[in-house]
Amino acid sequence: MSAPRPPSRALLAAVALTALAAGGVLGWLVQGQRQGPPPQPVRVGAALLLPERTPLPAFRLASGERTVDQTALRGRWTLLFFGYTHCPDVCPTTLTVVAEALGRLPPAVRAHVGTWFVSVDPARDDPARAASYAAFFGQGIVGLSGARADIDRLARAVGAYYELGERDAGGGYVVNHSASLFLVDPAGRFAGIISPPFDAASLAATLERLVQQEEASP
Amino acid sequence: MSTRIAHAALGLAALALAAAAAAGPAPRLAVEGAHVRAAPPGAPVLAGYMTLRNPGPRPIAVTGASSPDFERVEIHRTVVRGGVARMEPVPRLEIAPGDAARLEPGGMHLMLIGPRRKLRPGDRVRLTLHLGDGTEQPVELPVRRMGGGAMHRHGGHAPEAHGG
Repeated sequence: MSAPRPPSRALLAAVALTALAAGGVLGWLVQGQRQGPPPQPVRVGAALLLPERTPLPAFRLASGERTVDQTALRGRWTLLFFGYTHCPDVCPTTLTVVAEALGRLPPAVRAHVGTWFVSVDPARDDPARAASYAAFFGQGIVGLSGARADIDRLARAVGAYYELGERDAGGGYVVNHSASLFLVDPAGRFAGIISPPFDAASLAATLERLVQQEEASP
Repeated sequence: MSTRIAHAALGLAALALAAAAAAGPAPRLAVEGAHVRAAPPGAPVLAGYMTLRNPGPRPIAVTGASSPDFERVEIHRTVVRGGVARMEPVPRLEIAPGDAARLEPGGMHLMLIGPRRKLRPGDRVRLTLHLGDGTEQPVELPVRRMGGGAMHRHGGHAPEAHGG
């Protein structure tokens, strides 16, 4: 078990996302579209969808024995949550609400929604541990881990942030991490976020709308 | 009529409370809804939740907790700032007379570190709350598998703490 690193400040893309949420101004500046109004994020239920969806970079992660890459996200909507199995409150709470939301979906909609729990603490969470942890909360919640470089690439692509805390007397440490759910669309692109606090009913309604919209406009 | 009876009953209750306060030096918290959330097998850290009411005339502080079922117990608060969930230790939880502190998912919680035995739904965890005046209060927490519903939205004692 390697020592926790100092805060991973490389993942401050969360700031960019906040700017996007505040009005798409940053995306507008970056793209140099200075004529006309900047593209605005669109609210669909509890989700905030980006005006421009971005393809995900290449990565390899594993869930138990199964290795996956970015193409595994194609074909349905995916909720991405970044956490760790030593997480006492936020991760179990979020996964419990997500599982209940998934349970509320009609089967036809449910088939178009996946959930990935990606560990940001690979030193303590191997792919087997991440997988069994996530599966406890609900069938179909896929827990993944892998090399930190791969985790960081995915996290950075969606603006997820985490930092490892100081070691305590017992050798443990907490991980501060993004509390949001990140949305990947069926084309495998980062599409938006859902911010806490989460509610199973509104989460389910949001997922249903997203799936229906995608079917209406392929 | 019935109002008068109610008043009399209230008066008696107040007297009884005052007597209890005067007689028993140890402050007592009313504990409601105490439970440990069932966690995946092998989970190294669990969370305990409960509502602590102070029915007495004096403030009561919870300064810590311990359990024979865990190596260590700490009180923490989940705070979400800028979309990032952080855990902040709560070294002293002060509960004013007539007030209540809610320990609930996404907010304050007992962080139960290092389970010493396998805990399954239906098992009971014995826990001791350490109070500010040096006394202790035992609490028993059944292990429960929780449904989702909503994360807490308003921290009763911690308006800055939002569900994380």
